[in-house]
Amino acid sequence: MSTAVRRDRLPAEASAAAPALPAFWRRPRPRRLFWQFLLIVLLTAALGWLAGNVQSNLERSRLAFGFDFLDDASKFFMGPNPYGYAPGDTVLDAFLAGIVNTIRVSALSIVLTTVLGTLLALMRLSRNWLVAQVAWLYVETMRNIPLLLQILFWHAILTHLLPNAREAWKPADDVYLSRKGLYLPDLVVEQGLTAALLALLGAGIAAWLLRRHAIRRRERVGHPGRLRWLGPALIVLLPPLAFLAAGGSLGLDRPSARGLGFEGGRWVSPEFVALLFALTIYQSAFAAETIRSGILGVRKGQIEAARSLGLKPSLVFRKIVMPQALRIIVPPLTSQYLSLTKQSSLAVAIGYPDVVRVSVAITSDTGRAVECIAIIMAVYLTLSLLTSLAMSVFNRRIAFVEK
Amino acid sequence: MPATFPPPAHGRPPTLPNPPDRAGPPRVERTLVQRNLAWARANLFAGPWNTLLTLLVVLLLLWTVPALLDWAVLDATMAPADIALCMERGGACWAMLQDTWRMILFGPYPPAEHWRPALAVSLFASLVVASLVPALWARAGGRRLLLAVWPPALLVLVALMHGGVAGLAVVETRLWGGLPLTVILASVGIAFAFLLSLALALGRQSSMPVVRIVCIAYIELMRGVPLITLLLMASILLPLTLPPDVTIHPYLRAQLAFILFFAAYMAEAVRGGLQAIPKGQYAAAKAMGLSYWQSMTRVILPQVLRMIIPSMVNIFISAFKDTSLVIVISMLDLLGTAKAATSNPDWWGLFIEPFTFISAIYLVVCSAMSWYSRLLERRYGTAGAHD
Amino acid sequence: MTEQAPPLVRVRGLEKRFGDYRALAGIDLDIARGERLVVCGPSGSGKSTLAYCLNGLEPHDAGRILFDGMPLDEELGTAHQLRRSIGMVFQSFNLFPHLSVLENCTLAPRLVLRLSEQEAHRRAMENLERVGIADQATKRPDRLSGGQQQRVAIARALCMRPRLMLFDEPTSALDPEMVKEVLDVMIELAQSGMTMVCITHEMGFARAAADRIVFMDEGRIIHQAPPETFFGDQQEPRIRRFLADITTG
Repeated sequence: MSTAVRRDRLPAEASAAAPALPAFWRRPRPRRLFWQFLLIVLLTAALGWLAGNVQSNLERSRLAFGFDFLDDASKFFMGPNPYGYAPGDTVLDAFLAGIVNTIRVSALSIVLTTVLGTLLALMRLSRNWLVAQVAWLYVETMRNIPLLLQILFWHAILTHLLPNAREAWKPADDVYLSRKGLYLPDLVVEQGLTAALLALLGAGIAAWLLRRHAIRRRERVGHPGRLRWLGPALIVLLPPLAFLAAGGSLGLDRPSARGLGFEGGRWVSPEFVALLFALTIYQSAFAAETIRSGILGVRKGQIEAARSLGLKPSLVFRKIVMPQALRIIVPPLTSQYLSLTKQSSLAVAIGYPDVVRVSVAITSDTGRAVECIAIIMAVYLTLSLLTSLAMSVFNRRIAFVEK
Repeated sequence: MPATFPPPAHGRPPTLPNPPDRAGPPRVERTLVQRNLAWARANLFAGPWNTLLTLLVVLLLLWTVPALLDWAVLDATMAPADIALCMERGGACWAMLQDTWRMILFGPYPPAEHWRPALAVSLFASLVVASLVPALWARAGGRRLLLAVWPPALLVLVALMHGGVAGLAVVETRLWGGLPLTVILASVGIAFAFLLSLALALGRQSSMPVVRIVCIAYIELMRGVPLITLLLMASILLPLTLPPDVTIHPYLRAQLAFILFFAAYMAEAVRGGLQAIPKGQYAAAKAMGLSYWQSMTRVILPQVLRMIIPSMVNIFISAFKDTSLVIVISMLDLLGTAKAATSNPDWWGLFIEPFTFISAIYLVVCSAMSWYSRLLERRYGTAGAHD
Repeated sequence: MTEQAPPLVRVRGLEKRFGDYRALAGIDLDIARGERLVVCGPSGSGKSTLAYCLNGLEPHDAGRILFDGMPLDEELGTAHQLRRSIGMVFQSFNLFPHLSVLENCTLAPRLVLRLSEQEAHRRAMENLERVGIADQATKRPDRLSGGQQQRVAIARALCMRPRLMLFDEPTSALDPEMVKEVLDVMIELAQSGMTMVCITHEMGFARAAADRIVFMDEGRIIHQAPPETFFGDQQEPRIRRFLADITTG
């Protein structure tokens, strides 16, 4: 390589005592290759060593790595749950029930966080001094107290301050509130559910088609037409009609006191409520700040321009500020919701059976630590991946390209 | 017609005395009461909707504040007494804290030696506060002083906590708990995670594909899973990955999990800063003949760190709060000792008091951090740097 | 050019692509020691890319650059070595905002040339004096006007005692009233015998200080001539249009 370079040199300069070219190993490309090679070797060695240790440790305790234990019967106890898992079902069912529980509490908390966070953000932006101060106090307090502390606090409230099951509060007929949780009458659909769901699907599609037609029509003739109410009306009216037509009937499943607890009805566990409260209260403080800075992030000039066109302040907010603010707010808020979902794993501290709690219990039942941790990581990584995919779609479609 | 008017942009006929749009109403000295009334009208009672809101909030406050005051002060039991008296009076049982605060703050540390963790934490806190004074670290001399003071100070802190020197009884690390444990987990975690995050962020921007891929994979993996899985890994999985004769202290395992986890988040903050530095700075440093490491340490990173103070401090605050997760792997940090206090048989059933106590500690520390970050932000005008 | 002394810089067949775009499409250029070269041309003609390639900030794709007989090439590890002998002044100054004016000037001499603190300080003050800004030495760059900042940038480059100075449109980011103070410094530098490559549209400067004017378009050198002939009797229509545009615009 160096001889090739020497040939480049012009005869007149060959005599001049030019400094020698840097040695081969001082050149950038060999150096980069060397460091990368070294990194690969070191990483492989380290991971290989760890994996080897795991293997010999497993052999010593007569375990082999594998996911066949998922088909075994599980001893893990979980109360009534939406997935319908009961002890004796397979380990896989236990995990799936845990995943459903994680999603249930996170999804509900995300909805409530959005509502409460928006409310707090608007309060903080309010011209009313008192309102702004109250919201500020809330935000500053709630986001600076550890989430786990808040979860334990709510759980303690629900399990210490409420009466025990025998002296349960009855705020209404067939409603029992006690340390065992909240028992409500459950609505049971005895017939006609399929018909109602099909009707809902049909109404949804029809409403969507109508809306598209209205948008086209507005682009063409400047007015969406007089049938704007038809779509929503279909969605509201069609399912009940179909339900009645199919001869559907509703029943109530009433809880009743039985022994030390209750039976029947819909059960809301204190763990679920504590987790939901704490997650929502904690995260809404952060959401409020995200939403507030998004609204403040809309350029002043935009608002002034809208005002100068003579728009009413409320219209300026709805048509000019909010659409732009949303583009700023949605990306950080999404990653916040993702972290909310991850933080729902703190459920393990109060025994709410989310996926982490299930996997900890199954680890201690079966000793399958490696597999169980791999499952949790896979679950959360999948959620993260799906979220970032959704985000990149959003960014490509809506987020503005500034500069 | 137009000619008789002055140009519309800035002009105002100079003949008009005291133009209303600039000087406002004629200046009359207003009394304090009048000024306050004016403020209230603008900020509390501007329009019917606003007045209604104010009244609603006032009602809410009238409903909650007196009840809170009754509970916390008027009906509260202060003096050491038993739980029966507390129950009878119905308010807060601060007597419980009088009995248990040392246990909550210092955990299982031997009570006769409690002065040692107390001194150590105060010493550490004052060192941190002193180091944060801008007048000190903004000057080269001050930085040298800090660098000279910190290493011996850390040795003194360890000696105080652990003992075995200068006639201090040895206190094993398994007896460390409460506030000192929280402070150690948080500060050691933040310090090492910060160093690791610089390496990760630079690696993520590296021109070497293998380095870049490894760093991206690491960062995304860590950010994709909850902290609790990392702690579980550290306590359950880590022993499995080591030869049977090697054991790692549980504290170190938890500490490692914190460092690895928060380094990923800090690395993303640093990366944000690196991307915000104008390309010209990289070019200028290179054109001056600076090597990669010289330009990073002397030109790029000093600017990056100033720029990312707010997001960094937010991560520090999270890290401090999230040390409480160690209770899941049965370590007694501040939250762990408070939780233990709630199952103290003498004070059975009381949990609001110890939880309020430690909430106050977390609140003060976290608010102080965010206050300091806002101070620095104003000092460096980082807010304007984003535009 | 002349045969008695080898040129300081010899460029042969230099090419640079950005994706499909050919920023430099084969440049041949010799720069003699002490020569003062002005490079001009319409925007997008590859002038700045040429400057960035001449000190290796942008690696070139084909051709070669010899600096004082040494091939200047990132892959040979020589670009980093040679860069310390080539000073660069940027369009947007690129001073380091977290360092004072003085520290901006002493940083590279201390780190790269390993000068002592006193020596670096002495050299920095000398050059700040030369560009007439020594009284501002302790200030942060953002406290200075654009013209002052660009003069600091020149001083900073001079502190490395470069053998070649590259100027990449040094006045085009300046307010009109500040252009002169920078050009004055550049003219003084030109008269001191420094080898200079100036990418600029300041034709007054070109007339006053250049030995040769190079006109570029579409990544090639279209024409080169001493200022008298370049401005005097220009036959090339593209250059005539260009000259007309910049004098009226």
